[in-house]
Amino acid sequence: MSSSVEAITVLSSDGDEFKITVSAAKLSKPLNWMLEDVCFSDDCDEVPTIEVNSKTLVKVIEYCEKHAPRANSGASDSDAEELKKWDIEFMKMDVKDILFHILMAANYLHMEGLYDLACQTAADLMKGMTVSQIRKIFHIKNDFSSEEQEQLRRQHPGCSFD
Amino acid sequence: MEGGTLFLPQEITTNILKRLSVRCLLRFQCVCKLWKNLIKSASFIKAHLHHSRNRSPFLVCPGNPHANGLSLYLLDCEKLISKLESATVLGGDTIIGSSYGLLCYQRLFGLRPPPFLFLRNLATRETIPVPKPIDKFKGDCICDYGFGFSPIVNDYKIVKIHFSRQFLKVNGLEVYSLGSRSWKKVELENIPDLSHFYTSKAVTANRVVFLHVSRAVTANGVMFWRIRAATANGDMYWLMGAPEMIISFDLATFALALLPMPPLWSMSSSELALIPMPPVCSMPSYKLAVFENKLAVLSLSSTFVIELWVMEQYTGPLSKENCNWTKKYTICTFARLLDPAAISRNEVVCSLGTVAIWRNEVVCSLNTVAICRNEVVCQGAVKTGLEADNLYLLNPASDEYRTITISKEVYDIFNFSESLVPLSSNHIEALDLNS
Repeated sequence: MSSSVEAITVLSSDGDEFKITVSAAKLSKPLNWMLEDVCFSDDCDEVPTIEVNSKTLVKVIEYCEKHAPRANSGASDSDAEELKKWDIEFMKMDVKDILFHILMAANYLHMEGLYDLACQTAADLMKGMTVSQIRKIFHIKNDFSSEEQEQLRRQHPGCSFD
Repeated sequence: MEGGTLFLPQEITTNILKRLSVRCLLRFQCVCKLWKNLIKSASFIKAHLHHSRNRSPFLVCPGNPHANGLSLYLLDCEKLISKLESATVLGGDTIIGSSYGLLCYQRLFGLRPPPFLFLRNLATRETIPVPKPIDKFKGDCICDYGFGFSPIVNDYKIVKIHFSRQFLKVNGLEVYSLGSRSWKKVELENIPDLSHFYTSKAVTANRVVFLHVSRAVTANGVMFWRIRAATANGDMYWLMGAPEMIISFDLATFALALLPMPPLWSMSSSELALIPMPPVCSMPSYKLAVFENKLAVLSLSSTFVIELWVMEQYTGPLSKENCNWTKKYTICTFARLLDPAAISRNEVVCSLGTVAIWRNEVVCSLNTVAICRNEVVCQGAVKTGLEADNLYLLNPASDEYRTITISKEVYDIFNFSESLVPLSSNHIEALDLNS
Protein backbone atom coordinates (compact mmCIF):
# COMPACT_ATOMS: atom_id res chain seq x y z
CA MET A 1 0.00 0.00 0.00
CA SER A 2 1.27 3.41 -0.86
CA SER A 3 1.47 5.65 2.16
CA SER A 4 0.49 8.70 0.10
CA VAL A 5 -3.08 7.40 -0.31
CA GLU A 6 -5.41 9.05 2.19
CA ALA A 7 -8.76 7.80 0.92
CA ILE A 8 -9.95 4.79 -0.97
CA THR A 9 -12.96 4.16 -3.15
CA VAL A 10 -15.30 1.23 -2.54
CA LEU A 11 -18.49 0.05 -4.24
CA SER A 12 -21.71 -0.73 -2.39
CA SER A 13 -23.80 -3.78 -3.28
CA ASP A 14 -26.04 -1.40 -5.27
CA GLY A 15 -23.01 -0.39 -7.35
CA ASP A 16 -22.59 3.14 -5.96
CA GLU A 17 -19.11 4.49 -5.33
CA PHE A 18 -18.09 5.69 -1.86
CA LYS A 19 -14.95 7.32 -0.56
CA ILE A 20 -13.59 6.31 2.83
CA THR A 21 -10.41 7.59 4.45
CA VAL A 22 -7.70 5.05 5.16
CA SER A 23 -7.76 5.72 8.90
CA ALA A 24 -11.53 5.16 9.01
CA ALA A 25 -11.32 1.97 6.94
CA LYS A 26 -8.90 0.57 9.49
CA LEU A 27 -11.79 0.19 11.97
CA SER A 28 -12.90 -2.81 9.92
CA LYS A 29 -10.67 -5.87 9.86
CA PRO A 30 -11.67 -7.03 6.35
CA LEU A 31 -11.19 -3.51 4.95
CA ASN A 32 -7.83 -3.32 6.69
CA TRP A 33 -6.77 -6.58 5.06
CA MET A 34 -7.95 -5.20 1.75
CA LEU A 35 -5.77 -2.12 2.28
CA GLU A 36 -2.77 -4.31 2.82
CA ASP A 37 -3.44 -6.59 -0.12
CA VAL A 38 -4.73 -4.36 -2.86
CA CYS A 39 -2.87 -1.54 -4.49
CA PHE A 40 -4.87 1.63 -3.93
CA SER A 41 -2.87 4.03 -6.04
CA ASP A 42 -4.33 6.50 -8.52
CA ASP A 43 -3.50 4.37 -11.52
CA CYS A 44 -5.03 1.26 -9.99
CA ASP A 45 -8.47 0.74 -11.49
CA GLU A 46 -9.65 -2.07 -9.24
CA VAL A 47 -12.50 -0.92 -7.00
CA PRO A 48 -13.48 -3.41 -4.25
CA THR A 49 -17.14 -4.12 -3.62
CA ILE A 50 -18.56 -4.25 -0.13
CA GLU A 51 -21.67 -6.39 0.21
CA VAL A 52 -23.63 -3.68 2.00
CA ASN A 53 -26.34 -1.56 0.37
CA SER A 54 -25.78 2.14 -0.26
CA LYS A 55 -28.14 3.42 2.41
CA THR A 56 -26.40 1.33 5.09
CA LEU A 57 -22.89 1.96 3.80
CA VAL A 58 -23.41 5.74 4.12
CA LYS A 59 -24.14 5.26 7.81
CA VAL A 60 -21.29 2.81 8.36
CA ILE A 61 -18.80 5.21 6.76
CA GLU A 62 -20.21 8.10 8.80
CA TYR A 63 -19.58 6.05 11.97
CA CYS A 64 -16.04 5.11 10.88
CA GLU A 65 -15.04 8.66 10.04
CA LYS A 66 -16.32 9.89 13.40
CA HIS A 67 -14.61 7.18 15.43
CA ALA A 68 -11.35 6.92 13.48
CA PRO A 69 -9.44 9.80 15.14
CA ARG A 70 -10.10 8.39 18.62
CA ALA A 71 -9.39 4.79 17.67
CA ASN A 72 -6.07 5.74 16.12
CA SER A 73 -4.72 8.12 18.73
CA GLY A 74 -6.64 7.57 21.92
CA ALA A 75 -8.44 10.53 23.39
CA SER A 76 -9.28 12.37 26.56
CA ASP A 77 -12.29 11.62 28.74
CA SER A 78 -14.16 14.66 27.49
CA ASP A 79 -13.80 13.38 23.93
CA ALA A 80 -15.11 10.00 25.00
CA GLU A 81 -18.09 11.70 26.60
CA GLU A 82 -18.75 13.69 23.43
CA LEU A 83 -18.47 10.55 21.30
CA LYS A 84 -20.97 8.74 23.53
CA LYS A 85 -23.50 11.52 22.96
CA TRP A 86 -22.83 11.39 19.23
CA ASP A 87 -23.41 7.60 19.22
CA ILE A 88 -26.81 8.04 20.86
CA GLU A 89 -27.85 10.59 18.22
CA PHE A 90 -26.39 8.44 15.45
CA MET A 91 -28.40 5.41 16.56
CA LYS A 92 -31.74 7.22 16.41
CA MET A 93 -33.01 5.26 13.43
CA ASP A 94 -35.76 2.92 12.38
CA VAL A 95 -35.20 -0.63 13.61
CA LYS A 96 -36.44 -2.63 10.65
CA ASP A 97 -35.49 -0.17 7.97
CA ILE A 98 -31.89 0.48 8.87
CA LEU A 99 -30.74 -0.71 12.32
CA PHE A 100 -30.88 -4.41 11.41
CA HIS A 101 -28.91 -3.64 8.22
CA ILE A 102 -26.29 -1.84 10.28
CA LEU A 103 -26.12 -4.90 12.56
CA MET A 104 -25.53 -7.20 9.62
CA ALA A 105 -22.97 -4.84 8.09
CA ALA A 106 -21.07 -4.36 11.38
CA ASN A 107 -20.97 -8.12 11.88
CA TYR A 108 -19.82 -8.73 8.29
CA LEU A 109 -17.20 -5.98 8.46
CA HIS A 110 -15.97 -7.14 11.90
CA MET A 111 -16.54 -3.73 13.46
CA GLU A 112 -16.74 -4.55 17.14
CA GLY A 113 -17.62 -1.07 18.39
CA LEU A 114 -20.47 -0.51 15.95
CA TYR A 115 -21.77 -4.09 16.36
CA ASP A 116 -21.88 -3.69 20.14
CA LEU A 117 -23.57 -0.30 19.87
CA ALA A 118 -26.18 -1.57 17.40
CA CYS A 119 -26.96 -4.68 19.48
CA GLN A 120 -27.40 -2.54 22.61
CA THR A 121 -29.62 -0.08 20.71
CA ALA A 122 -31.79 -2.92 19.44
CA ALA A 123 -32.03 -4.42 22.95
CA ASP A 124 -32.96 -1.04 24.45
CA LEU A 125 -35.71 -0.60 21.85
CA MET A 126 -37.09 -4.09 22.48
CA LYS A 127 -37.47 -3.58 26.24
CA GLY A 128 -40.75 -1.74 25.89
CA MET A 129 -42.21 -3.84 23.08
CA THR A 130 -45.01 -6.38 23.21
CA VAL A 131 -44.54 -9.90 21.94
CA SER A 132 -46.49 -9.18 18.76
CA GLN A 133 -44.44 -6.04 18.10
CA ILE A 134 -41.29 -8.16 18.43
CA ARG A 135 -42.65 -10.72 15.96
CA LYS A 136 -43.40 -7.93 13.50
CA ILE A 137 -39.93 -6.37 13.47
CA PHE A 138 -38.14 -9.73 13.47
CA HIS A 139 -40.51 -11.25 10.87
CA ILE A 140 -41.40 -14.15 13.12
CA LYS A 141 -44.63 -16.14 13.04
CA ASN A 142 -46.24 -17.41 16.24
CA ASP A 143 -45.65 -21.15 15.83
CA PHE A 144 -47.01 -22.27 19.20
CA SER A 145 -50.05 -24.52 19.09
CA SER A 146 -52.89 -23.56 21.39
CA GLU A 147 -51.95 -26.48 23.69
CA GLU A 148 -48.37 -25.26 23.92
CA GLN A 149 -49.58 -21.74 24.66
CA GLU A 150 -51.79 -23.10 27.41
CA GLN A 151 -48.85 -25.01 28.89
CA LEU A 152 -46.57 -21.94 28.85
CA ARG A 153 -49.29 -19.88 30.50
CA ARG A 154 -49.48 -22.43 33.29
CA GLN A 155 -45.70 -22.34 33.77
CA HIS A 156 -45.49 -18.58 33.65
CA PRO A 157 -48.73 -17.07 34.85
CA GLY A 158 -49.39 -13.78 33.15
CA CYS A 159 -47.26 -14.40 30.09
CA SER A 160 -48.72 -13.03 26.92
CA PHE A 161 -48.60 -14.20 23.33
CA ASP A 162 -49.80 -10.85 21.97
CA MET B 1 -30.73 -7.44 2.23
CA GLU B 2 -33.83 -5.55 1.08
CA GLY B 3 -35.94 -3.96 3.82
CA GLY B 4 -38.86 -6.12 4.82
CA THR B 5 -37.27 -9.47 4.11
CA LEU B 6 -34.27 -9.25 6.39
CA PHE B 7 -33.79 -12.17 8.75
CA LEU B 8 -31.16 -11.80 11.40
CA PRO B 9 -28.85 -14.77 11.86
CA GLN B 10 -29.13 -16.48 15.26
CA GLU B 11 -25.68 -15.21 16.29
CA ILE B 12 -26.91 -11.61 16.08
CA THR B 13 -30.26 -12.40 17.72
CA THR B 14 -28.38 -14.00 20.63
CA ASN B 15 -26.12 -10.99 20.98
CA ILE B 16 -29.15 -8.68 21.22
CA LEU B 17 -31.19 -10.89 23.56
CA LYS B 18 -28.37 -11.45 26.06
CA ARG B 19 -28.55 -7.71 26.84
CA LEU B 20 -32.17 -7.93 28.00
CA SER B 21 -33.37 -8.33 31.57
CA VAL B 22 -34.61 -11.72 32.75
CA ARG B 23 -38.08 -10.21 33.03
CA CYS B 24 -38.06 -9.26 29.34
CA LEU B 25 -36.66 -12.63 28.31
CA LEU B 26 -39.32 -14.57 30.19
CA ARG B 27 -41.87 -12.48 28.28
CA PHE B 28 -40.15 -13.02 24.93
CA GLN B 29 -40.19 -16.80 25.33
CA CYS B 30 -43.68 -16.50 23.87
CA VAL B 31 -42.44 -15.02 20.59
CA CYS B 32 -41.78 -18.37 18.91
CA LYS B 33 -40.44 -21.86 19.60
CA LEU B 34 -36.98 -20.97 18.34
CA TRP B 35 -36.67 -18.09 20.81
CA LYS B 36 -38.08 -20.16 23.65
CA ASN B 37 -35.50 -22.88 23.07
CA LEU B 38 -32.74 -20.32 22.60
CA ILE B 39 -33.54 -18.56 25.88
CA LYS B 40 -33.56 -21.90 27.74
CA SER B 41 -30.37 -23.19 26.13
CA ALA B 42 -27.23 -23.65 28.21
CA SER B 43 -25.13 -21.54 25.84
CA PHE B 44 -27.57 -18.63 26.08
CA ILE B 45 -27.88 -18.82 29.88
CA LYS B 46 -24.10 -18.65 30.00
CA ALA B 47 -23.82 -15.75 27.51
CA HIS B 48 -26.52 -13.83 29.40
CA LEU B 49 -24.87 -14.36 32.80
CA HIS B 50 -21.49 -13.35 31.43
CA HIS B 51 -22.95 -10.11 30.06
CA SER B 52 -24.92 -9.50 33.24
CA ARG B 53 -21.84 -10.03 35.43
CA ASN B 54 -19.98 -7.34 33.54
CA ARG B 55 -22.63 -4.74 34.20
CA SER B 56 -24.16 -6.18 37.30
CA PRO B 57 -26.11 -4.05 39.70
CA PHE B 58 -25.57 -4.05 43.40
CA LEU B 59 -27.79 -5.50 46.07
CA VAL B 60 -28.51 -3.36 49.10
CA CYS B 61 -30.34 -4.56 52.19
CA PRO B 62 -31.36 -1.62 54.33
CA GLY B 63 -32.75 -1.92 57.79
CA ASN B 64 -32.27 -4.72 60.24
CA PRO B 65 -33.81 -7.89 58.81
CA HIS B 66 -34.39 -9.30 62.27
CA ALA B 67 -36.67 -6.42 63.08
CA ASN B 68 -38.30 -5.45 59.82
CA GLY B 69 -37.93 -8.33 57.42
CA LEU B 70 -35.58 -8.21 54.52
CA SER B 71 -36.32 -5.90 51.66
CA LEU B 72 -33.83 -5.57 48.88
CA TYR B 73 -32.80 -2.71 46.69
CA LEU B 74 -30.81 -2.75 43.50
CA LEU B 75 -28.22 -0.18 42.66
CA ASP B 76 -27.61 -0.27 38.94
CA CYS B 77 -24.84 1.00 36.69
CA GLU B 78 -26.37 4.45 36.44
CA LYS B 79 -26.21 4.51 40.24
CA LEU B 80 -29.96 4.53 40.54
CA ILE B 81 -31.59 2.71 43.35
CA SER B 82 -34.77 0.72 42.97
CA LYS B 83 -36.70 -1.62 45.21
CA LEU B 84 -36.69 -5.26 44.20
CA GLU B 85 -40.29 -6.42 44.33
CA SER B 86 -39.57 -10.09 43.98
CA ALA B 87 -37.63 -10.13 47.22
CA THR B 88 -40.24 -8.87 49.63
CA VAL B 89 -41.17 -12.42 50.57
CA LEU B 90 -37.85 -12.81 52.33
CA GLY B 91 -39.19 -11.63 55.67
CA GLY B 92 -36.98 -12.57 58.61
CA ASP B 93 -34.29 -14.06 56.41
CA THR B 94 -30.57 -13.38 56.27
CA ILE B 95 -28.54 -13.53 53.11
CA ILE B 96 -25.53 -15.83 53.31
CA GLY B 97 -24.11 -14.98 49.93
CA SER B 98 -24.75 -13.96 46.35
CA SER B 99 -22.85 -15.57 43.52
CA TYR B 100 -23.21 -16.00 39.76
CA GLY B 101 -26.85 -14.95 39.74
CA LEU B 102 -28.01 -17.01 42.72
CA LEU B 103 -28.68 -16.06 46.31
CA CYS B 104 -28.37 -18.28 49.37
CA TYR B 105 -30.30 -17.27 52.47
CA GLN B 106 -31.01 -18.57 55.89
CA ARG B 107 -34.20 -18.49 57.90
CA LEU B 108 -32.98 -17.69 61.35
CA PHE B 109 -36.04 -17.90 63.48
CA GLY B 110 -37.60 -21.29 63.55
CA LEU B 111 -41.21 -20.23 63.67
CA ARG B 112 -41.70 -22.31 60.60
CA PRO B 113 -40.48 -25.89 60.41
CA PRO B 114 -37.25 -26.71 58.53
CA PRO B 115 -35.82 -26.38 55.91
CA PHE B 116 -34.09 -23.23 56.93
CA LEU B 117 -31.59 -22.83 54.08
CA PHE B 118 -32.74 -21.72 50.65
CA LEU B 119 -31.33 -21.00 47.23
CA ARG B 120 -33.09 -18.38 45.20
CA ASN B 121 -32.81 -16.91 41.75
CA LEU B 122 -34.05 -13.37 42.36
CA ALA B 123 -34.61 -12.71 38.66
CA THR B 124 -36.70 -15.77 37.76
CA ARG B 125 -38.13 -15.88 41.30
CA GLU B 126 -37.39 -19.58 41.53
CA THR B 127 -36.61 -20.84 45.06
CA ILE B 128 -35.56 -24.26 46.27
CA PRO B 129 -35.09 -25.46 49.85
CA VAL B 130 -31.72 -26.93 50.79
CA PRO B 131 -31.81 -30.16 52.81
CA LYS B 132 -30.45 -30.16 56.34
CA PRO B 133 -26.70 -30.62 56.81
CA ILE B 134 -25.56 -34.00 58.13
CA ASP B 135 -23.86 -33.13 61.40
CA LYS B 136 -25.19 -31.23 64.33
CA PHE B 137 -21.89 -30.73 66.20
CA LYS B 138 -23.27 -30.28 69.65
CA GLY B 139 -21.24 -28.60 72.32
CA ASP B 140 -19.24 -25.43 72.47
CA CYS B 141 -19.20 -24.83 68.80
CA ILE B 142 -19.85 -21.93 66.47
CA CYS B 143 -20.80 -22.51 62.89
CA ASP B 144 -20.93 -20.31 59.86
CA TYR B 145 -22.27 -20.71 56.34
CA GLY B 146 -20.75 -19.49 53.10
CA PHE B 147 -22.05 -19.58 49.54
CA GLY B 148 -20.05 -19.36 46.36
CA PHE B 149 -19.43 -20.60 42.85
CA SER B 150 -16.40 -22.55 41.74
CA PRO B 151 -15.44 -21.91 38.12
CA ILE B 152 -13.24 -25.01 38.19
CA VAL B 153 -16.00 -27.52 38.88
CA ASN B 154 -18.79 -25.30 37.49
CA ASP B 155 -20.92 -25.73 40.55
CA TYR B 156 -22.48 -23.68 43.33
CA LYS B 157 -21.49 -24.70 46.87
CA ILE B 158 -22.78 -23.97 50.34
CA VAL B 159 -20.15 -24.51 53.01
CA LYS B 160 -20.88 -25.08 56.67
CA ILE B 161 -17.82 -24.59 58.84
CA HIS B 162 -17.65 -25.41 62.55
CA PHE B 163 -15.20 -23.94 64.99
CA SER B 164 -14.60 -25.29 68.42
CA ARG B 165 -14.65 -22.34 70.76
CA GLN B 166 -12.89 -24.04 73.55
CA PHE B 167 -10.07 -25.57 71.57
CA LEU B 168 -9.84 -22.83 68.98
CA LYS B 169 -9.77 -25.02 65.94
CA VAL B 170 -11.82 -25.97 62.93
CA ASN B 171 -14.04 -28.81 64.04
CA GLY B 172 -15.64 -29.87 60.83
CA LEU B 173 -16.70 -28.91 57.35
CA GLU B 174 -19.65 -29.87 55.23
CA VAL B 175 -20.26 -28.88 51.63
CA TYR B 176 -23.54 -28.81 49.74
CA SER B 177 -23.31 -29.02 45.98
CA LEU B 178 -26.19 -27.69 43.87
CA GLY B 179 -25.04 -30.01 41.07
CA SER B 180 -25.42 -33.19 43.12
CA ARG B 181 -28.03 -31.72 45.47
CA SER B 182 -26.44 -33.26 48.52
CA TRP B 183 -24.25 -32.49 51.51
CA LYS B 184 -20.84 -34.04 51.83
CA LYS B 185 -18.71 -34.19 54.95
CA VAL B 186 -15.16 -33.11 54.24
CA GLU B 187 -12.46 -35.30 55.70
CA LEU B 188 -9.96 -32.83 57.08
CA GLU B 189 -6.40 -34.03 56.79
CA ASN B 190 -4.53 -31.10 58.23
CA ILE B 191 -6.95 -29.53 60.63
CA PRO B 192 -5.73 -26.00 61.21
CA ASP B 193 -5.14 -25.58 64.90
CA LEU B 194 -5.77 -21.98 65.74
CA SER B 195 -4.57 -22.14 69.32
CA HIS B 196 -0.90 -21.44 68.59
CA PHE B 197 -1.97 -18.12 67.08
CA TYR B 198 -3.48 -17.29 70.41
CA THR B 199 -0.57 -17.71 72.71
CA SER B 200 0.07 -13.99 72.66
CA LYS B 201 -0.12 -11.95 75.82
CA ALA B 202 -3.48 -10.52 74.78
CA VAL B 203 -5.06 -13.92 74.69
CA THR B 204 -3.46 -15.60 77.64
CA ALA B 205 -4.24 -12.66 79.90
CA ASN B 206 -7.93 -12.96 79.18
CA ARG B 207 -9.19 -16.35 79.95
CA VAL B 208 -12.53 -16.27 78.25
CA VAL B 209 -11.65 -16.01 74.62
CA PHE B 210 -13.87 -16.74 71.70
CA LEU B 211 -13.55 -16.60 68.00
CA HIS B 212 -15.18 -13.96 65.90
CA VAL B 213 -15.79 -15.15 62.36
CA SER B 214 -16.56 -12.73 59.53
CA ARG B 215 -19.00 -13.38 56.73
CA ALA B 216 -17.52 -15.64 54.05
CA VAL B 217 -16.29 -14.07 50.84
CA THR B 218 -15.65 -16.09 47.68
CA ALA B 219 -13.06 -15.07 45.09
CA ASN B 220 -12.31 -17.21 42.08
CA GLY B 221 -13.70 -20.40 43.62
CA VAL B 222 -11.99 -20.05 47.01
CA MET B 223 -13.97 -19.13 50.11
CA PHE B 224 -12.41 -16.97 52.83
CA TRP B 225 -13.26 -16.14 56.43
CA ARG B 226 -11.47 -13.67 58.64
CA ILE B 227 -11.14 -14.82 62.23
CA ARG B 228 -9.95 -13.06 65.31
CA ALA B 229 -10.20 -13.41 69.03
CA ALA B 230 -12.45 -11.47 71.29
CA THR B 231 -13.03 -11.82 74.97
CA ALA B 232 -16.13 -11.71 77.06
CA ASN B 233 -15.61 -10.54 80.58
CA GLY B 234 -19.06 -9.35 81.38
CA ASP B 235 -18.87 -7.04 78.40
CA MET B 236 -17.53 -7.90 75.00
CA TYR B 237 -14.09 -6.66 74.18
CA TRP B 238 -11.89 -6.78 71.16
CA LEU B 239 -8.38 -7.85 71.90
CA MET B 240 -6.35 -5.19 70.23
CA GLY B 241 -3.02 -6.56 69.19
CA ALA B 242 -4.26 -10.13 69.13
CA PRO B 243 -3.40 -11.80 65.87
CA GLU B 244 -5.91 -12.22 63.12
CA MET B 245 -5.92 -14.63 60.28
CA ILE B 246 -7.80 -15.79 57.29
CA ILE B 247 -9.09 -19.28 56.68
CA SER B 248 -9.36 -20.31 53.05
CA PHE B 249 -11.34 -23.20 51.62
CA ASP B 250 -11.02 -24.21 47.99
CA LEU B 251 -14.48 -25.15 46.67
CA ALA B 252 -13.00 -27.46 44.04
CA THR B 253 -10.23 -29.31 45.90
CA PHE B 254 -11.70 -28.93 49.44
CA ALA B 255 -8.26 -27.80 50.67
CA LEU B 256 -8.30 -25.80 53.88
CA ALA B 257 -5.51 -23.37 54.76
CA LEU B 258 -4.63 -20.73 57.32
CA LEU B 259 -3.32 -17.50 55.81
CA PRO B 260 -1.80 -14.40 57.33
CA MET B 261 -3.50 -11.03 57.09
CA PRO B 262 -1.73 -8.32 55.11
CA PRO B 263 0.73 -6.25 57.20
CA LEU B 264 -1.85 -3.66 58.24
CA TRP B 265 -1.25 -0.62 60.37
CA SER B 266 -2.36 -2.15 63.66
CA MET B 267 -0.37 -5.31 63.16
CA SER B 268 2.83 -3.41 63.67
CA SER B 269 1.70 -2.00 66.97
CA SER B 270 2.90 -4.10 69.85
CA GLU B 271 0.68 -2.33 72.32
CA LEU B 272 -2.15 -4.41 73.63
CA ALA B 273 -5.41 -2.92 74.69
CA LEU B 274 -8.97 -3.86 75.32
CA ILE B 275 -11.39 -1.82 73.29
CA PRO B 276 -15.06 -1.96 74.22
CA MET B 277 -17.11 -3.47 71.48
CA PRO B 278 -20.03 -1.23 70.64
CA PRO B 279 -23.26 -3.08 70.01
CA VAL B 280 -23.42 -2.69 66.27
CA CYS B 281 -20.17 -1.51 64.86
CA SER B 282 -17.38 -3.94 64.51
CA MET B 283 -13.89 -2.88 65.43
CA PRO B 284 -11.14 -2.86 64.52
CA SER B 285 -12.06 -2.21 61.01
CA TYR B 286 -10.93 -4.79 58.53
CA LYS B 287 -13.24 -6.23 55.99
CA LEU B 288 -12.85 -8.88 53.34
CA ALA B 289 -13.99 -8.10 49.82
CA VAL B 290 -13.29 -9.14 46.25
CA PHE B 291 -11.26 -6.91 43.96
CA GLU B 292 -10.71 -7.91 40.34
CA ASN B 293 -11.60 -11.52 41.16
CA LYS B 294 -9.02 -11.65 43.96
CA LEU B 295 -9.40 -11.56 47.72
CA ALA B 296 -9.04 -8.04 49.11
CA VAL B 297 -8.75 -6.66 52.63
CA LEU B 298 -10.01 -3.18 53.37
CA SER B 299 -8.78 -1.60 56.55
CA LEU B 300 -9.65 1.68 58.17
CA SER B 301 -6.82 3.14 60.19
CA SER B 302 -7.02 5.28 63.29
CA THR B 303 -6.31 8.24 61.03
CA PHE B 304 -9.38 7.36 58.95
CA VAL B 305 -7.39 6.26 55.94
CA ILE B 306 -8.58 3.17 54.11
CA GLU B 307 -6.03 0.79 52.69
CA LEU B 308 -6.94 -1.68 49.99
CA TRP B 309 -4.78 -4.82 49.99
CA VAL B 310 -5.05 -7.56 47.39
CA MET B 311 -3.88 -11.15 47.56
CA GLU B 312 -1.86 -11.64 44.42
CA GLN B 313 -2.24 -14.54 42.02
CA TYR B 314 -0.70 -17.68 43.42
CA THR B 315 0.40 -20.89 41.81
CA GLY B 316 -0.49 -24.27 43.23
CA PRO B 317 -2.62 -24.76 46.33
CA LEU B 318 -3.07 -21.67 48.46
CA SER B 319 -0.95 -21.75 51.62
CA LYS B 320 0.77 -19.51 54.12
CA GLU B 321 3.94 -19.65 52.03
CA ASN B 322 2.55 -18.60 48.65
CA CYS B 323 0.11 -16.03 49.97
CA ASN B 324 1.37 -12.67 48.80
CA TRP B 325 -0.25 -9.35 49.74
CA THR B 326 0.08 -6.09 47.80
CA LYS B 327 -1.18 -2.69 48.87
CA LYS B 328 -3.14 -1.40 45.88
CA TYR B 329 -4.65 1.84 47.10
CA THR B 330 -4.71 4.26 49.97
CA ILE B 331 -8.03 6.07 50.14
CA CYS B 332 -8.08 9.31 52.09
CA THR B 333 -11.69 10.34 51.48
CA PHE B 334 -12.88 9.86 55.05
CA ALA B 335 -9.81 11.54 56.49
CA ARG B 336 -10.77 14.57 54.39
CA LEU B 337 -14.46 14.48 55.24
CA LEU B 338 -14.37 13.93 58.97
CA ASP B 339 -14.74 16.90 61.23
CA PRO B 340 -11.18 17.71 62.34
CA ALA B 341 -12.30 19.13 65.70
CA ALA B 342 -13.89 15.85 66.77
CA ILE B 343 -10.85 13.90 65.67
CA SER B 344 -8.41 16.08 67.54
CA ARG B 345 -10.31 15.53 70.78
CA ASN B 346 -10.10 11.78 70.22
CA GLU B 347 -13.84 11.57 70.50
CA VAL B 348 -14.67 9.69 67.39
CA VAL B 349 -14.03 6.12 66.57
CA CYS B 350 -15.00 5.00 63.11
CA SER B 351 -15.31 1.56 61.72
CA LEU B 352 -16.23 0.25 58.35
CA GLY B 353 -19.81 -0.90 58.26
CA THR B 354 -20.86 -2.99 55.31
CA VAL B 355 -18.27 -3.13 52.59
CA ALA B 356 -18.03 -4.47 49.07
CA ILE B 357 -16.22 -3.59 45.91
CA TRP B 358 -18.40 -2.84 42.94
CA ARG B 359 -17.07 -2.00 39.49
CA ASN B 360 -13.68 -1.12 41.01
CA GLU B 361 -15.20 1.27 43.52
CA VAL B 362 -15.36 0.66 47.24
CA VAL B 363 -18.94 0.78 48.50
CA CYS B 364 -19.21 1.15 52.22
CA SER B 365 -21.07 2.58 55.10
CA LEU B 366 -19.28 4.03 58.08
CA ASN B 367 -20.12 3.45 61.72
CA THR B 368 -19.14 6.29 63.97
CA VAL B 369 -19.21 6.28 67.74
CA ALA B 370 -18.30 8.87 70.27
CA ILE B 371 -15.80 7.68 72.83
CA CYS B 372 -15.23 9.35 76.15
CA ARG B 373 -12.72 7.97 78.68
CA ASN B 374 -12.71 4.61 76.92
CA GLU B 375 -16.48 4.30 77.12
CA VAL B 376 -18.83 4.31 74.22
CA VAL B 377 -21.04 7.32 74.76
CA CYS B 378 -23.34 7.23 71.81
CA GLN B 379 -23.62 5.70 68.49
CA GLY B 380 -24.73 7.14 65.21
CA ALA B 381 -25.48 10.80 65.70
CA VAL B 382 -21.95 11.98 66.27
CA LYS B 383 -20.95 15.24 64.69
CA THR B 384 -18.42 13.91 62.30
CA GLY B 385 -19.21 15.55 58.98
CA LEU B 386 -20.45 12.22 57.68
CA GLU B 387 -23.97 10.97 57.25
CA ALA B 388 -24.71 7.68 58.96
CA ASP B 389 -27.42 6.66 56.51
CA ASN B 390 -25.32 7.21 53.45
CA LEU B 391 -23.58 4.65 51.36
CA TYR B 392 -20.25 5.94 50.16
CA LEU B 393 -18.87 5.00 46.77
CA LEU B 394 -15.15 5.61 46.92
CA ASN B 395 -13.08 5.59 43.77
CA PRO B 396 -9.65 4.35 44.87
CA ALA B 397 -7.88 5.50 41.72
CA SER B 398 -9.03 9.13 41.82
CA ASP B 399 -9.82 9.35 45.55
CA GLU B 400 -13.15 10.92 44.59
CA TYR B 401 -16.40 9.84 46.19
CA ARG B 402 -20.15 9.82 45.69
CA THR B 403 -22.86 9.25 48.22
CA ILE B 404 -26.10 7.37 47.88
CA THR B 405 -28.78 8.22 50.36
CA ILE B 406 -31.00 5.43 51.51
CA SER B 407 -33.61 6.40 54.04
CA LYS B 408 -32.65 3.55 56.36
CA GLU B 409 -29.37 2.36 57.73
CA VAL B 410 -27.75 -0.08 55.35
CA TYR B 411 -27.54 -3.51 56.87
CA ASP B 412 -25.73 -5.38 54.14
CA ILE B 413 -24.52 -5.07 50.57
CA PHE B 414 -23.76 -7.72 47.98
CA ASN B 415 -22.55 -8.00 44.45
CA PHE B 416 -25.36 -9.35 42.33
CA SER B 417 -25.94 -10.37 38.76
CA GLU B 418 -29.20 -11.27 37.10
CA SER B 419 -29.34 -14.71 35.61
CA LEU B 420 -31.57 -17.30 34.00
CA VAL B 421 -29.78 -20.12 35.88
CA PRO B 422 -32.52 -22.69 36.55
CA LEU B 423 -32.48 -24.07 40.09
CA SER B 424 -34.59 -27.00 38.98
CA SER B 425 -31.99 -28.08 36.45
CA ASN B 426 -30.28 -31.35 37.26
CA HIS B 427 -27.28 -30.42 35.19
CA ILE B 428 -25.76 -27.32 36.75
CA GLU B 429 -22.23 -28.42 35.81
CA ALA B 430 -23.29 -28.92 32.20
CA LEU B 431 -24.23 -25.24 31.99
CA ASP B 432 -20.48 -24.59 32.07
CA LEU B 433 -21.07 -21.09 33.45
CA ASN B 434 -17.42 -20.20 33.65
CA SER B 435 -15.40 -18.48 30.86
